[in-house]
Amino acid sequence: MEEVEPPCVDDFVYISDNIYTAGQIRGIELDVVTTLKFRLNHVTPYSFVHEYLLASEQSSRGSSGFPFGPAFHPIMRHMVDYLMELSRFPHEFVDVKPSLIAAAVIFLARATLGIRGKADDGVHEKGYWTKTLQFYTGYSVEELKDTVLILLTYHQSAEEESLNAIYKKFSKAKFMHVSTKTVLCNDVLDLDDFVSTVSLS
Amino acid sequence: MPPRTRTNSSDKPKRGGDAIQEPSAKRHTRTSARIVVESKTVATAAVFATQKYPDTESPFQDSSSGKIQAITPLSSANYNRTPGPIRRLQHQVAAPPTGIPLPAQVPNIFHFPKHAYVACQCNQAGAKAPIVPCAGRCISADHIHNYGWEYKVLLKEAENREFDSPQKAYGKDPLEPLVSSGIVPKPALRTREQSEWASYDSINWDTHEYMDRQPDLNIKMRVILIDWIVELVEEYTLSEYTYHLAITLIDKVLACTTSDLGRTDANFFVAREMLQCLGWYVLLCFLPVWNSFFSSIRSG
Repeated sequence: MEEVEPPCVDDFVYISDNIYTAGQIRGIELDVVTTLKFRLNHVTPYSFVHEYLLASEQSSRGSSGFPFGPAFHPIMRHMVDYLMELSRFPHEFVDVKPSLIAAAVIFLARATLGIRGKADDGVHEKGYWTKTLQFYTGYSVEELKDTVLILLTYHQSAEEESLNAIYKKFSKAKFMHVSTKTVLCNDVLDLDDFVSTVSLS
Repeated sequence: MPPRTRTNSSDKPKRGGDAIQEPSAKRHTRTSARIVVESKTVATAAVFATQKYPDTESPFQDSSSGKIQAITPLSSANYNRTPGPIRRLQHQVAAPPTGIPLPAQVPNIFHFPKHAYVACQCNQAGAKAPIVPCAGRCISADHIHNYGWEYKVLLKEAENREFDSPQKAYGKDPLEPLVSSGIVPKPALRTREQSEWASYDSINWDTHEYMDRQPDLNIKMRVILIDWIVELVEEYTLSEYTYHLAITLIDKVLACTTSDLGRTDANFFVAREMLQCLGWYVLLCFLPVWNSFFSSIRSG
């Protein structure tokens, strides 16, 4: 997950096609480092998503509603990666908690692929959110609802955007064409109906 | 417009008479903010920073003597994110307790209240004890062992705006029952962490609509920058963690502004043409790097 060879200053100058000099890059480095006061690591949604994927796998293993077999399928994994990268675009998400974004991404990926929980996990038949997921993520559907709907609008307009590098990246065979999968409509993902019918103890 | 010149050749370290530049010479000119890798270069950046901004306290600087401390780089074992046991829940989900639990032994999974946090011993020898925040989520003993240092980062997650310090939130030390039961280290190990937390709070992390505070930028430029970063990540095959960390840090850095009071230590105003340079720097220089000793294992 980490890189092996760190770049040097000359690499920066070379890659940027000599637009910036080494002095400018060093100046920006100094500004960034002192502004952040050397807190150079930070929590991201990526920190949570692996754990949530495991919980998603456990909550729907062997369920009849899942078309692909086990939920930790590469398609699910790539779909989550795609939605995660997409979730960095909206400026509404800048001050949303990273764990909430990760949970919303898991929700939308499950809904897009049609993964449902087992019946004894205490969810409605249409429900893509289970007791297990609620326990491990700490978020209920009511808390997830607004974030999921914002993410869904960006998911729907990902292809038509002029800056669609993510869409083109994930439409390759390496990522199993996950970005070309059918995007949900708003009425298919009827969160209000879902919230009202599910009662979690 | 900056002059389009190559780097001055005098910047490079001269190796007497050698025409071939060896990798070690190349490594000597690295930029210096990779906290995970190069303790020596980070210390160099700390020296420069304290010279340029003398009011800023570097965390690596000893307050009494003023010398830069040696930094032990994190071992790659801390990045093996093997999570704890995640099982499908049975029919009953245990309700979270209302107070801090008093476990006689470490249970497998216990649920903390919303703003609880727990300090634990880092499994790396010589490292400081990190604070594990719970933020209403479940923490198992295996989590604490496996994540080690990583959970220190989750501190930001627990630190909401209404939760600024444990003393203010609880009125007393919330870790006291856990310390007495022996699952967290002694309070002497925690004082350094709490002082670091105080310096965390001194940074303005308020990212709400921060683009309005940047005079030369707007939301469209952020979208263009992220789109360009996506292409870079794909071209240079960087990891996803690098992508997410870079965008988070760009947001945090650009949000470090107050109103139009001019440049202080807490302000970070970026000109329009330097935004790409910031993207370069944050993407390619803050990427966490494996200890390269692992890749040198080979026969012969």
